[in-house]
Amino acid sequence: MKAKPELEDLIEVAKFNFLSSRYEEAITTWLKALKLSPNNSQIYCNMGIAYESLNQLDKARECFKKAVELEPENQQAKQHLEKIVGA
Amino acid sequence: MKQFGVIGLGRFGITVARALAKKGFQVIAVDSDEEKVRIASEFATVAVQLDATDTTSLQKVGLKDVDAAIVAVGEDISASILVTMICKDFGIPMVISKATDPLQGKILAKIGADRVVFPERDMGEKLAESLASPGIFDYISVSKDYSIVELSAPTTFCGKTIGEVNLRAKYGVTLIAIKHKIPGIDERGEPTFTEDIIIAPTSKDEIATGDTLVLLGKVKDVEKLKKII
Repeated sequence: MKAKPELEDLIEVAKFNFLSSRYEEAITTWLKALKLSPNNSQIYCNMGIAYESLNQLDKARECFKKAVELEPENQQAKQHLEKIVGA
Repeated sequence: MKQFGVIGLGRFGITVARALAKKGFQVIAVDSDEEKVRIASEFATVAVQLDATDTTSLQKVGLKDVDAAIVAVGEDISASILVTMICKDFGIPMVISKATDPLQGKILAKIGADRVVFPERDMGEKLAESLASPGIFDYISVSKDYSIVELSAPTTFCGKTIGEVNLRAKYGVTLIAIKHKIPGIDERGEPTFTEDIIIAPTSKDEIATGDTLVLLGKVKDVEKLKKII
């Protein structure tokens, strides 16, 4: 039960960094969150969006792929993956 | 409203016809194949099955009055030449003919095609360009020497103004637009971003991390700039 609020805190901090256009800090924080919740599809999807915001499309593609692999119904990840395939 | 004639409804012809119709233009689509004409009839203003090398039939469907004709009859070079000549004889102001190789291109240009396009070659070059340079998102060839490219803003440019980067003086390229990503949160509370396009940015506009630059320049100058991405 102790890990749960910590995970949510990390996710919130990452979102705050993302909204402040501090994409690299956001990714670092999401990576910490992933250690607590390794199969969290949404975190991978969020990281993909941050990498896409940095124009690092190879890394973005890997994150979206992982998000879809963990949750085949993740529409957001699917849409982004479709958009950057071949880019 | 502008009117276009598309003769030959293979993959290229039908794509052009559909795109023009989608943009709200009037499109006369012609092919000898019934099935292709049926598909085109779903979006074209007029879709007719006829032999495109028959002048009278082409005249009857109103092809004489179009603003531009796209001759996409494909592999059959003799038909392509004949249809291009008929279109020119009709006095159509712009005749664009499809060629599959340089020799065909030369012949079509000689007999009066205002523009010759090589869809396979152009697409191939475009794909090769995008695969060869991961930072390049799009590439449009304007002429033999000039191109428009979309490329990821090099990290050394980030945080600097357009004036400071001085692209024209240092690299000989003109910045047409900047695509800037704005982070946000979607209705589910998850991160997302929207893209803001600044057309003709001023020297005071700043380049941010993750921006995409749309540049016009000579191919050799663009190549030089690509190396620093």
